Amino acid sequence: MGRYSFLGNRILQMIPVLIGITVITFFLLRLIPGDPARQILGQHYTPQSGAELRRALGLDRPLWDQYGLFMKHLFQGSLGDSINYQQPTTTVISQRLPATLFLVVYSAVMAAVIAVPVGVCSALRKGGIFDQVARVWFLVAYAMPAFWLGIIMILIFAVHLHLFPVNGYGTGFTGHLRYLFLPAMTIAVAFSTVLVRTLRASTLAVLATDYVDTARIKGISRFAVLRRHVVRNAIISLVVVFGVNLAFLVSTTVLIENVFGIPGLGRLLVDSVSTRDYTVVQGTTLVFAFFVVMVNLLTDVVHAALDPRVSAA
Amino acid sequence: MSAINPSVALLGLLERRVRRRNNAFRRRASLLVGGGLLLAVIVVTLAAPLITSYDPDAIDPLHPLAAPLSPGHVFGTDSFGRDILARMLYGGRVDLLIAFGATAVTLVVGTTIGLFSGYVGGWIDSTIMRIVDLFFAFPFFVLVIAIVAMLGPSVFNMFLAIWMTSWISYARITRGHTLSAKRQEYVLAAKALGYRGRRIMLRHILPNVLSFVVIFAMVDAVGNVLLGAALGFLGLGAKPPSPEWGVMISDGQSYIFTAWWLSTIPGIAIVIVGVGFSLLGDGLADILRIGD
Amino acid sequence: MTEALAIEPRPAILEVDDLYTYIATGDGVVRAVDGVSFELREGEILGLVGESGSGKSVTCRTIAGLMPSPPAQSVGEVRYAGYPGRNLLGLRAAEQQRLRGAHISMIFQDPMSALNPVMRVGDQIEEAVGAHARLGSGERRKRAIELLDRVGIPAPARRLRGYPHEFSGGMRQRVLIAAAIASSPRILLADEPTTALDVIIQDQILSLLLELQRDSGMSMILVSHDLGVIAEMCDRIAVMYGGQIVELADARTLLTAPRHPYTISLLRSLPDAERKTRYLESIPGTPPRLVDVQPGCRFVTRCPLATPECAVWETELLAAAGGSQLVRCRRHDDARRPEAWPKQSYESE
Repeated sequence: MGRYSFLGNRILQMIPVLIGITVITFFLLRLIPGDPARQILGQHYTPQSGAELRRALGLDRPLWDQYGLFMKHLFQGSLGDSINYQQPTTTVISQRLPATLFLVVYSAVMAAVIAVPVGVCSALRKGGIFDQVARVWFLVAYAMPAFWLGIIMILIFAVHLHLFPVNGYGTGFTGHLRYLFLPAMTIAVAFSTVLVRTLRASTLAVLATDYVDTARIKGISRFAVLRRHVVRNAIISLVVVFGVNLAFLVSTTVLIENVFGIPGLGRLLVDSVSTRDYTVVQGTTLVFAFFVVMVNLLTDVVHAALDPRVSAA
Repeated sequence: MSAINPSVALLGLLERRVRRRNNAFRRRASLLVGGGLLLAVIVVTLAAPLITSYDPDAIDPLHPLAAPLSPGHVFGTDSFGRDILARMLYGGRVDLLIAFGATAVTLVVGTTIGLFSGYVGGWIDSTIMRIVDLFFAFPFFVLVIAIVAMLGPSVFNMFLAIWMTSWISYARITRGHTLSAKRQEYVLAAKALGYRGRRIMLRHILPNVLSFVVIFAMVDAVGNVLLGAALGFLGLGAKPPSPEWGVMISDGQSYIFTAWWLSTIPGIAIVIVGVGFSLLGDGLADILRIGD
Repeated sequence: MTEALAIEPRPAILEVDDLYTYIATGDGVVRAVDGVSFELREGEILGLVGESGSGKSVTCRTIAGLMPSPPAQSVGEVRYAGYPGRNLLGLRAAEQQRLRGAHISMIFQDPMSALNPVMRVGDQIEEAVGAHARLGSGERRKRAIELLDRVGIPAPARRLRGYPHEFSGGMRQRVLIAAAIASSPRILLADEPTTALDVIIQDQILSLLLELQRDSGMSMILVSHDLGVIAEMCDRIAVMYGGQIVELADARTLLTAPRHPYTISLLRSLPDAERKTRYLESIPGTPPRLVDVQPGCRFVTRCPLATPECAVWETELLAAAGGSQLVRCRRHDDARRPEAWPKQSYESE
């Protein structure tokens, strides 16, 4: 359909970004003070293994060559080896990826479920009690450290009320749903603060349009006006703001994985810092950035699906 | 003459409503409350030695895990018997330092780059903006962790990591506003008068852009406080035995059932600081927009 | 324009009695509609003409119940023949829903913003069709195609699937009209339906409206700031200024023998191919801000016939010409005499 024709262009634009990501990630390792090989190998360092690693990473060669080597490995599907796990980094990452993906999607859905009714209701009764209370709540929620909220959630719901498990991932789809409920809720509370503001603003904008008046004057029910015109149109802004704030969602997920002990990429990242598993740190950073770029493309597709004006412009 | 004309009654009702809403105090409420909260926190943390005689690092094995309002310890003690109030006050210095220090430097650096980039335009502008867009693809937290990982976890490296990455938001905002300012008449007039580029940038464009930058800085400050606390919590920034609030929350995590105050009090403090900055930002936004 | 009948006027289908709409804004209370009374007779087209800010749109929206309720509030009575004994301002939500579309309908000024941009045109028409009739989806679609055909849109079946931005301005307005008449309303409120369109399309739309009105016998209130449009279409005309009606008469009388200085100035400012004047006349000054309204006539600062008494006169509609013409001016008899008007310095004759 002609509507999605702009995608080809967007994908082309993505390529330099992806390359740029590899450049920055490449330079990460170069930040290490002192001898990188010694640092990377840590306790496994011997003059021999050090020399091998230096050759493998091309540390004795000019920077440009090193980057070339890095990219060559990347295209072969390799991100180096994890010192800590004694496995290829890609293997380690792919084991953890599903949990993180599940959590991100779960949290995003929950955040939308919270944000849409609250944003729309706040706008419908602008200035009313609900609106004012919601504003105060989101003011506080935005300033709340997500990890602290997570701990409190555990305390109340897992420990005192025994409704949910304290940490872990669970098995099977329903198991995941149950185990990840509290962490997803924690992330959703934080993320929804960003979403609600936009949703409220766009609902207000939609309520002021003439087409809502046209719909009302047809004599359809108030609920039908809300559903088919107000919410339908206000949600478009949700997709846009979601894409823009995706990085925030991912960041919070990384943090929360560590609070709830979820075996995902975020936990892997932080653990690898203390174990000085530099290649894993670098690898996960790359994967996260790629993920953000891909999802942004996805939100563009969804946006085009919801709004036929997008490509016509 | 019978009852009041209903239109007159309606007019009176609406006029009272308008008057109430335009109340000057109400308008300034956010600004005052926000500013007040922050000021209180700053004063209290700076005056720490005057408020408490305890040393935040002093261990007291005889009084571990004392509850709040126990004799001599308003906020109780932690597992090592250290006074919580003292740790809160001295730890607050670290968190406030992060809020102001990290934000201030990134503000200056980012604004300068954005102003310059937007003003000169051309390939320099395109290149800088490409780099900025690139950094935006990374989840901020992830990138900061990665940099801290490479440099080695410490408070200073945390600052470095934030400085290296956070300037992009300011650059983008400033550049955007600079671009639209460039088209405004007052800039064209200044150019016609022969003012040099640097003078135009500093004296003419910057003051107008500054209000947006400052409001954003408030939001950024909240983010930095949360970031600093999160890194402290994970042991990647401030580390035990530092009394930084994030570290304290982490310390208290294992005692969450028995000594809930260990993690709760620092959390509340962070929220207060965050709310303070947010309200200040909202208040400034109201005022500056009205002033425009 | 129908010929003036020598017999009694047709019964009123809508009566607006002492209507006030006040809007609370940051700058104060705007008295958008400040004591408006008129009636709409069955089968007639009533014109509501005035500058922007005169209250003509707000009047229509208040009748339709579309004014947003926290900032705007209304008092007064709006009586409709189809709901005897009820004040339309006091209807409950369910009653209002039954009224709209099937009894009273409205079309708006900018057809692009009056259509939902992310919804297919066909769905928007079918929505109107299904609002007051229990029809299956096939029947709704058939009816929608009939309506699009009725308003003169070619290839209606294909165009159902289109989005508003794929239509031209005139086509969009036709779509809006189709949706508005879907449930055969007895009253149509047309708020500046041609203002956003170019002149040739304007003509087509006006003809369409006239045709629809003749075929169905529905009564219409036509709002415009363009006297030309009003003159072409309306049986009776109400001139609004500063939230009030300042003159109300049948079209012929108002256009040939106006009595309010504002109406006269408006007519004079129309370019006339026959009168060769070098300059276009306009009314000096600007319309009043309807916040903190001063007592007295609101046109006083711009009226060539104003006297100090006018500034304190508590205005009301006075009857003239045997009661068939209402004027809100204490000098309306003088206004009819050309000598009373101050000489314009730039008149070339």
